[in-house]
Amino acid sequence: MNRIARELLDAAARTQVADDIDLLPRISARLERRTLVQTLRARPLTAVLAGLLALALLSGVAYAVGHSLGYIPGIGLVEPGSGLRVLAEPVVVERDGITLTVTQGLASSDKTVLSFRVENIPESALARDYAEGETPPPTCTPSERLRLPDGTTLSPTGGQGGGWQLGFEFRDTFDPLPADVNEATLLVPCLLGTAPGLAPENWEVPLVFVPAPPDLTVVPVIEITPSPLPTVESGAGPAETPAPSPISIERTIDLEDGTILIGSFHSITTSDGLATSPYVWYVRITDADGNDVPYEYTSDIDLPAGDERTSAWAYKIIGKDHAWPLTLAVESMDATLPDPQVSFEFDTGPSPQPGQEWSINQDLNVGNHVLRVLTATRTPDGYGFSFQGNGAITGIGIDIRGFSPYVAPVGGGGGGGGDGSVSVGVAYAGSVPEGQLTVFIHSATITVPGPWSIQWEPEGTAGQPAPAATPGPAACVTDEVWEQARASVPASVPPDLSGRLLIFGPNADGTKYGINTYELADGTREFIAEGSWPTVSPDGTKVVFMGNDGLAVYDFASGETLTIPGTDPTDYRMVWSPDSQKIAFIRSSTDQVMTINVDGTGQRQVRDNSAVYHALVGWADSDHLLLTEPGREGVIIQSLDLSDGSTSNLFTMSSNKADTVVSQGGQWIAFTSSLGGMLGNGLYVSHLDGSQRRLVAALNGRALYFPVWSPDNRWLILGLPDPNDPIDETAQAFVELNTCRVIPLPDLGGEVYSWGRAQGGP
Amino acid sequence: MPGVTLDDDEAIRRMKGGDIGGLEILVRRYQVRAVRAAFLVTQDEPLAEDVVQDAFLHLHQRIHHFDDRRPLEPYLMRSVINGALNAMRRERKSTSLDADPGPLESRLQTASVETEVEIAEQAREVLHALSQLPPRQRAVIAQRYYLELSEQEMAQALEAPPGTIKWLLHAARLRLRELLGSGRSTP
Repeated sequence: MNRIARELLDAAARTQVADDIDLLPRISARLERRTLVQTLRARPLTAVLAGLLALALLSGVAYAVGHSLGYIPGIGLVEPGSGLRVLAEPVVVERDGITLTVTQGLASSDKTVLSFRVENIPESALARDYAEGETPPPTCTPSERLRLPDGTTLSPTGGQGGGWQLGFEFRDTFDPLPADVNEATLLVPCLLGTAPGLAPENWEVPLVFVPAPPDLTVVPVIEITPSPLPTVESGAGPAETPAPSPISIERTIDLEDGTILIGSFHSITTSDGLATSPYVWYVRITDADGNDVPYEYTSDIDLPAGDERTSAWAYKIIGKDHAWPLTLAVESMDATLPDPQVSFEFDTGPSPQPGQEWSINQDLNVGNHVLRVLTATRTPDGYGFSFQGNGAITGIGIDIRGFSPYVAPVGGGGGGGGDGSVSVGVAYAGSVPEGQLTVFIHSATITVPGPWSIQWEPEGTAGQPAPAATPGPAACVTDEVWEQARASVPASVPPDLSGRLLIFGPNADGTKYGINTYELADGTREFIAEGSWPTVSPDGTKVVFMGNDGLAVYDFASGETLTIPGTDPTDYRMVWSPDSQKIAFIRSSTDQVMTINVDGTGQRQVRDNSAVYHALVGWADSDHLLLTEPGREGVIIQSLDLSDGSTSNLFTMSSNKADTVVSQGGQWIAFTSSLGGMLGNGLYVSHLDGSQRRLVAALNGRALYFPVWSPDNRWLILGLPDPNDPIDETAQAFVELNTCRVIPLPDLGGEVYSWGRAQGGP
Repeated sequence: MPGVTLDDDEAIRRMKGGDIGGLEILVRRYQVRAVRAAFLVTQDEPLAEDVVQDAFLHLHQRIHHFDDRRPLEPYLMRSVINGALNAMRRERKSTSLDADPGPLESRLQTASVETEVEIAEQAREVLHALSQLPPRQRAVIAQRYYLELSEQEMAQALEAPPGTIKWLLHAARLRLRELLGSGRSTP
């Protein structure tokens, strides 16, 4: 990368942004030291889990030991039995069109749990919609409370939640209600994401609890001891005795649509010593046939905070018809070497100045790894240190001693750069120590290579024949298919294709950059205009693109380019109406969704200040635009009736990627959505109402950019990672939807943006 | 415990556990770089600080949606750059793409940065030139040359096809070269 460019930009920014800015006080004030998500601390559950864990580690056999806890979907783990009270009924409060619904509530002897949802927050109330010139208002982070009849209030002790811009949903855990208290009031001072005064505030929702009905569904929680099989020792170094698996499963919950597994990751003894605070980035779950099993994080189970030796997890396995047993596999985990007992010294000399650097170049032995201290640098409020290791150490914690009186640093931190380099700093609130200093490494984060795995199967399934393999969603394009196609299918344009591709790239002699046409019939290529984002009209006669002065239209018949009057250079994401007479686009300067006739007449704003939330997708027909809106379950595809402005929801996709594209005739839509659980997203096609959904591509979570429909809807051109440069380059491929043929595109001198029908063609 | 010397992973883990200390670590670590990146887009230091505050608060609110398998910094900086662009839209500070655009590298690669005076002078020139660019072009310059993101990362951040990123970069470089006075681009 261009070092000088970076240095100059940094210097340019430095002229206005000082090294010592401190945003923390303002951020802290806005947060009011209130976190939305807190875990249970020192709750009885922790003690229960600790006891179970001790038992688990002493054992080695998976068996059920009892059913002591219960699980209520949406509420979490409860202690069943007498005294359970539930919300008498869901409570809905509506103010100014915004609804707050307390959907669930439960009071038990150890806690109170409330789930509430807020919907229909108007875009105008969101903090980001303040008026021009106005000082940005603070954004609300609700600090809800539960008020009891005697006036005392309870704050959440745990919970989870999240929002989707126009609404949010929280599940809060509070301390238990007194046994004789059956009424309380939920207080919500303000709504998440809104600016003060723009939405109703100080919500009060009266709640009434009644004894739980006898038929309350409480799913038994099956407590098991984990089975450390197979035993696999860490690859970090030889161990004299096999180490137990650091994965344990302690509880399972059998649901109609899946199973929740609750377990822990444990500290592990490596050749470097005991590695604590285990952290696992990714768990792969496979069935007996080696197929990936979808799973997701649970949203209603408060995990114990854990300690240095364990970290808890809870996953919901999606589906029940799996080939048992399932295997939970971990390739590696990050863990901490608590006290490597390593130090080094350096002398700052008198009056060290910010920016001053000292070369140290000293090798340290941290565990069994050599970490070389390269430099120390005086920062505005402390010191920074750079290290180089072999990649095994990904972070360290330091403290500076050797000066008197000792002052603890107030901040700092550091981590690895992925290449064995580690940078770490310490900051001080007051004077920065100087002179002969000793730097102690008090902890080191290491990546402990596995693999480890543990198997689990539901009770009663052992020895039974595996169910017939459930056919997973078969994708036309997978990593393997794409790799195979690149190796065995010559890059070419299939001879049976017709029409014209619009290619964004340089002209023939490389003096201009813009829009080129490529005739599929004979392979001729022609540069037609400078600009970007070319989109061909459904009748194939024109191209609209972003020009320097606004949107421009190139007419194939006349060869002329005309800027559309009334458009401006911030207009983008153009989509043609099916009759090729109108264009819809987003005006980024004002976040409006606009439509305009191709001759510039009839310009109309169809959504105001909403493009931030409503991506423009395309046209369903000449009277209906397709937009997206964030929703609770994902992104909703909406149809906007241009005649009266009303909208109707078509279907919900689970991804918010802006690569949703409607076919030229408006019959089909290509979009990305979740493959289920942690399997990432896939590219799907379906009818506009979501029917006949079909998975086209699943590339292990990697992005797929803006698919291009063929005029006859038979083909898609997909942007796929270029194996030669998967980070920076995209390759494209033809994918025939009916046959799943995958054909790499030859080098056409740029990227295909659009595919028009042949001149005079159907 | 001496100091708060934790890496990003641990900070995120703490945040997911409800410990605001995790956010403090990340703020201290990334605030300067983030504000400078935002400033390169907004050209307005107080606005840049507001943008970065919002980005950290957003991170805090959405930490449970953050995919732990991905590095934090690109995620955070994506939020910062998009926040800066949104702020520019709100503030109506957009400038038009009204001239022949023109590459940062040639000017910058030939630039001498041997003395602090020269650096300061050239920094002022760069700053002035940047101010003449539309926000989206400033954003790609900041992403590519200051944050050193790949074009794919930029495409994801700006939700635009990679080709559009190439074009925005191309146009921004040409425009900067013209503004920095190292010769007009060839038509």
